[in-house]
Amino acid sequence: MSTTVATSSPSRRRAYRMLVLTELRLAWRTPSYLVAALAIPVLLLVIFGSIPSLTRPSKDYDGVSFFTIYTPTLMMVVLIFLGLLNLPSKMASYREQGVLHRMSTTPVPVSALLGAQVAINVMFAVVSIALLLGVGGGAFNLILPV
Amino acid sequence: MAATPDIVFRGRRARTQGPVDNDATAVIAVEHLHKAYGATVAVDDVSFSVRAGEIFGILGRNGASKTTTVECLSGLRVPDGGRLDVLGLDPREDRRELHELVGVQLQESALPPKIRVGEAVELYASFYRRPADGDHLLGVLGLDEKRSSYFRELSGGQKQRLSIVLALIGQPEIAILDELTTGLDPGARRETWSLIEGVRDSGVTIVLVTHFMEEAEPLCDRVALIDHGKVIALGPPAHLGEQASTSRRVRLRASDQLPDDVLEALPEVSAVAHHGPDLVVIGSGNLVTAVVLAFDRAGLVAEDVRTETSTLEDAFLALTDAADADATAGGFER
Repeated sequence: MSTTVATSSPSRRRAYRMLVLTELRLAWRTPSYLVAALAIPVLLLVIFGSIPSLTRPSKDYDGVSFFTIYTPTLMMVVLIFLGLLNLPSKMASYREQGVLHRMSTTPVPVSALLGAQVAINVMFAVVSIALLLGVGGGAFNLILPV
Repeated sequence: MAATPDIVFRGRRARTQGPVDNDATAVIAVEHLHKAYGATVAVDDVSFSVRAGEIFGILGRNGASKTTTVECLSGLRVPDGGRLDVLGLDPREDRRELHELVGVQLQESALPPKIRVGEAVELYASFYRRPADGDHLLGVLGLDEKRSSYFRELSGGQKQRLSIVLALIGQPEIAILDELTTGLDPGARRETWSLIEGVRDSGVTIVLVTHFMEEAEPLCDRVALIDHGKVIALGPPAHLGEQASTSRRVRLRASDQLPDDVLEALPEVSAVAHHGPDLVVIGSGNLVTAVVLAFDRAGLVAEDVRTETSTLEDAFLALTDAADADATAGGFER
């Protein structure tokens, strides 16, 4: 059995890479979630950034603008959306469709699919937050904490 | 292909380890399998063994616990009692190893709607240590042109063929196929049958779960007939037919009509029916002689007398009805 463990780990890594790649492709083909996770927060950021009164430093917020204060909230919205809506609903539909059932008959446990989903949602979160920081700092006067 | 010897080795070692069955060629041994969900007994007492290289049918009506049996074999459910041995492995303990050697196609399992056929094959190939050549399998199962189609765009028959590809992608020693042809049109069903025979000819042992008699009869080398959680008959399909033939059927044409009540009065006869110009007499014992003599006594000639061998379908109905009667009787006693 020791040989089994030794030979299985590279194939396990390959399986995990393939799962992540496949989940990325599938997410790309159902773009509504990606739009919601990536585009809507940026759109909100642009709208808030375009309202002059919100980008002016205010005494109410310790001398920074409402826009600057609100950007972390948008980031949290992204995380909440991905973690509480995107990932669970994807796993639930996989269960409903029988995808998990099908996979449970292979040597790779279904938990690897959950792992791949976590991985791609972390990627989406990083991209989305980078977008918010980039657009906010580049196009508007977002003040980054130092 | 160079990688196969290891699988063979593992299988062979496993088989010499398992002191399970008298049958030296058995790759699956099930002894007194029992599984209940709460108060509902799904599998009562099921025993059978599957020999290497055969197509073994698990036959029964819907809800006759076929799927639960197969799910226990595949390590997806933990049985409450009994012994299971698949290639020398215990499905409860060695799931991962088992799944390397046993390809399974289950009911109500599917793929994400927007995965492409080629991607699905590549993905599932990555799950196994020594995958088969996916492109070759797709070609054999006639899915070459569908490689870049989404799963949801496939027809029922194409989905089933893809599920065969995925069940075989790990180069298994055993393939378990559950209700493979349900919902397929007759043409696609026939096509699937010949594919299954092709798979068997390539050396894979096949466990075929079905409720179609006409599927089990031409395809299976041996069949276990399951009803109410028990094996009620086991053997080659033709033998099962004989087993159930306690009643015989004689079909004939008479030169002139003999009143039915004359035939019905014979002790051997239980029923008389008219099928167009044919007279069908159902009964037991030495039925043919009794019927022909009765015609002779009336001065008539019975022509074109044929006894009809009972098919697996008849066996199925006869045997499951008997089991039904037992179950009902048991219920009344309490």
